[in-house]
This record gives sequence, C-alpha cells and structure tokens, in this order.
Amino acid sequence: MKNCIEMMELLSAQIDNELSQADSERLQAHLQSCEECSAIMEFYNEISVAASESAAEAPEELCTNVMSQIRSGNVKKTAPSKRNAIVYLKRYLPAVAGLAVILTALPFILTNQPPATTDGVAPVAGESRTLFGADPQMQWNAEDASVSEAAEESASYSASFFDIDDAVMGNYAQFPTAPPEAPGGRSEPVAVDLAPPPMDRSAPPISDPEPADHAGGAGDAAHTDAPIDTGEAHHRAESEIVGTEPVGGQHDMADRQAVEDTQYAGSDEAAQGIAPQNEEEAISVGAFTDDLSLGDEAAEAVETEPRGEPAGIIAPAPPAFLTIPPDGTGISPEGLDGLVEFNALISGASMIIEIRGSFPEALSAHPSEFLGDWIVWERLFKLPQAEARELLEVLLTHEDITINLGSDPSAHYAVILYKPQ
Amino acid sequence: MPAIEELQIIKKVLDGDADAFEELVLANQKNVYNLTLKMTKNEEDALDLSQEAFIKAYTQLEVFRGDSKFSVWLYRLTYNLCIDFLRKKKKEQVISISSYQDDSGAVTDMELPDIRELPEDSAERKELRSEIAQSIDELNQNHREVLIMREINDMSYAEIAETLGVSEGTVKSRIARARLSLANILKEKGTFP
Repeated sequence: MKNCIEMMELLSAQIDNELSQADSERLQAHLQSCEECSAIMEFYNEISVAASESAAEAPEELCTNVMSQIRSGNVKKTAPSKRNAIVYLKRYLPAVAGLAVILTALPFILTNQPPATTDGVAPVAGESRTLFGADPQMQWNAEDASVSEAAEESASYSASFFDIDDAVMGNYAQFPTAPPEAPGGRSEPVAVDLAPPPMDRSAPPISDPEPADHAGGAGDAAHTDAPIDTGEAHHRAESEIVGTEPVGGQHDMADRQAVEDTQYAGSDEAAQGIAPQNEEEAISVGAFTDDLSLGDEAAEAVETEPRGEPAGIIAPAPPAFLTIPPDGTGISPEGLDGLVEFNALISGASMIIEIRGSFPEALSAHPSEFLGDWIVWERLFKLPQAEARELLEVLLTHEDITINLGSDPSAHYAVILYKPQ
Repeated sequence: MPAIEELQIIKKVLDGDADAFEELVLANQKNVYNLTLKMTKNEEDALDLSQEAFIKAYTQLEVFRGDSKFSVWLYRLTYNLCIDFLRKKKKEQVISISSYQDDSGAVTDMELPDIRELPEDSAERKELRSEIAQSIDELNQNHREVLIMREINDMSYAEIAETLGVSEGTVKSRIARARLSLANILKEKGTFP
C-alpha cells in the first residue's frame, strides 16, 4: 500500500508524459503487479477524457466583441491604463555623478535596513547586504518594459556589453557634465511613461532628492507600505498614493504640483506636448516595496500565490514579482531623449531592470569599463550571460555598491541602476 | 499554434495590422474561456474576463518578449485577471496560504482511492465521465486550476509553472493531488462501489 501511495505522483506524471525514463520504468514494473494502481491509472485516463469532453466552446461573441473594441480604436496598443505609472525624471543641470549599476538576483533580498558600510568585499553567496543608499521605494520592476524595435530585432545580440558604439558615445561627448539633448533638439522637458500598465500614474514626482545617506541609507526614506503579496499589489495601486522619493529625498510639494499639472498619461506622442513648469525635467520614479526581504513563509507565499498585476509606483512588490510579469510591469528602457539609455536617472534614484543571466563566475573587466556614466539599455537588456556575469562581479566589488545575493544561480536577475549623489 | 506563427502574427499587429490579432483570439479563445469558466464558474463572468484578457493582451503586446509562448503569456494574464476578479468577489479564499493546505503535504499524505475497476459498459463509462466533469468543479481552487490547465488547455508542467509562478515540482505534486482528490470525491459519491 505504501508503495502504491508513492506511485500516485508517478502515475499522474505518466499520464502527462512528464515522467523521466527511469521513473517510467519503475512505474511500469509496479503496474505489472498491482491491480489497484492499474485501475487508478485507467481512472486518470478517464479524467483526461472527461475533462476534454467537458471543455466548453468559446461563445461566438467573445472574438466578435474583442475585435470590435480593437477596430473601434477605443483600445490602443500599449495604451496606458489609469494605473500606468508616470515616470518623471528630474534632470539636474549640474554635472552628474557617474551611474552605478547594481545587480540583484532572485531570490536575492533587498533588505530595508540601512546599508552596511561598503567595504568593497565581494559578498558571499547567500549573504545579505543592503543596497547602498538605495531607497526601495524607488525600485520598480522593469522586466516587461517595452523594448525598442532594435532591441527586439537583436534578440540574438551577442556583442560585448563593452563594445559601446563610437556613434553612441559620440553623441554624448559632454558626458558626464550634462545629459544629452533630446533628438531634434527638443529642449522642453518631457515626461515619459516608462512603466507599462497597469500602474498608477498619480505618483508624485521626485524632486530635489537629498543626498544619499551613506550611513542611514534607505532607512531615511519614508517607507509607507508593508510588503504585500503580489496579488494585492494592483489593488493598492488603485487606491493608494505613496510618495516616490529618491534615496534620502523628500517630496517637493511645488515640484509635485508642477508635475501633476503636466501629468502625462503615457504615450510618447502625448509626452511631446508636455512641458513641466519646472525648469528641470521632472521624472519621478515609481516606488515599490520597502521590504523586499523574503522569509520562508513569504517565500512560500510567493511560490504558491499567483502574481497579481504589477504594483506600479504606489504598491510594493516582492522581489519574486520581478521575474515574470507578462501583463505589463516594468519601465520602458527609453530615456527621456528616446535614445534608449538610462542617462537621466535622478541622483540617488534607482530603477530595477531585469536581465537574464546566471550568477557571475569570474571577474575580468575593470570597474571603470563597466561603470560608465551611461549604460545602453539594449545592451544591458540583452546582455550575454558572460557579460552579465562580469558586470555582476564588478558591481560586487565596487566600493559604492552592495548587493544581496541569493543562492539560486539560475534565477533571473534584476539590474538596479543607481546613480549616487 | 506554433510559437513561430504566434510571433509572426504579433509582428503584424505591432506593425499596425490590428485585424491580425483576430487570429490569436481564435486560436486561444477556447482555452482562455475554459480557464475563466472553470475559475469563475459563471458563464457571464467568464465571457467578460476572457474579453478583458484579450484586450489587455492586445494593449500589452509590445511588452511581450517572446521568451515564452504567447499562449502561455496570455494564460498567465488571464489567470491573474481571474484571481483578481475572484478576490474582489470574495467567492473563495483563492489567495491565501491557508487555501493551499491541500498542497502543504506530500501526495503520500493523501488517501489512496479504492478503485478496483472501472465500468466497461459504454453507457456507464459515459456516465462516469459526466460525473468526473462535474466533480472537477468541486475541487478546490488550486486543484481545479492546474487540472484545467493540464487537461483542457493541454499545458505542460513547465507552462503551468510559469503561469502560476510556481515550480514544476509544485505543479507535478498539485496535479497528482488534484487527481487523487477527484477520485476521492467520486468515491464519496459512490461512483466507485
């Protein structure tokens, strides 16, 4: 009997052709001598037949209604919902500091604790270290960010991350003193929806972030929400407003009002005509959970609970949410100037972008080559595994970056772009 | 529909041919509808949610990265919509750790159904299948959804895992438990004397 119980999972998997050769042979050997299990196997086959026969046909109006809505023009591709995050980047006219890239991986943990003193020591796998100066509220999921057509076409892109095109770099000859101008010489600030729906676009912008508190770090940020499961995320997105802040920063009511007055609903076309009242371009970043740490219980909850819609700028999202958001989470990789570079992050701000790669194995490049001021999105997004690893290694040892490590090298990784003060 | 064909249609849609999206709707509507129907147990809600799922997929098409099949991406989107819908209606405790109590243990913790033999008569076999179909609706949420995805949507363990955001091992175990639960339900009904 005990043996039969142990066979139940094998029986089930056999029906689904999901059994290994070895287990299949073991099962067959058992079935030859067990009438009960043979009967159960036959019953499982009946379940398959019964389920298939009970499948309902889709109502005719389903397709008709869907296409009717699409053709009527009421539905726009990538049209933002009311929960779209509006991302306003505040561009500082003064020279900006170099851009630091921080990598974390699932089930990597971003704690809510003040960052540890950076010691430049590479974290040990499984060790948790807080993100230096990072305000978790500033982090949001960019995994499903829309990718430029060029990036899509370069799905098999395998060039080195470090092969920055001269043409690209040439456009930014003044780096890092000033951000590049938008194409066409557009000088007006542009607010761009960098977060696919559903996100709440009512998040206030970030303004005048205070310098990152190297000692207090994220602890100084105003964290308003306790971590919630992903399924609740979108509900909060609808009903709550959480201020978004850069590291150590606080809201500037005047800036917030200025940006709210020019809030953009999402499309690039709409962004063209928006001119924030501020002289500075205002881009506020969506905020996610202030506590991305997962205990065993939470990890199990994440494991077993289905993921809801993305949290957006106002709802916290557990780190597990970073990996599979098919319904539109994330931030568009395009910067303000549409040149697909994260060159307009607010100082002290951070943005999570997912890349796929395994845990780094070796460090080969010098930090200075990796941590330039500008990182080309499509390269980062399509980073070959080897480069991803190298980049991770460099970031692990960068004096201003701490990374929380997990133990699952096959997990997807989120790249957090962090611009120190 | 093969993945390559899905991607070709998606490209057409993204290039401006909205009508091409209809091919994706037709190819996936049965599975989407059955998923919503089994989760909501209401035809009207199922139709509304199915429509919403396709519309949302259309508006979000640009963020579909093609690293999984479109259909799986669509099912996940549909599944999430259903979960959110059920939460709002509070029909069931669909998203709570306690609702997973049936999955908390191993399959070996479950009772082995006492099935000696199945009816050979075609009429009785047909009746059995009818009872099975009805009993599927009596399964708890977790069991029902994996069984539907597997048996009706013909999704692999990997695809179900991706849709639910769980591991393949969890899917394998959950499906096994679902089938065992179904057998025990029928046993209690006296289907298996």
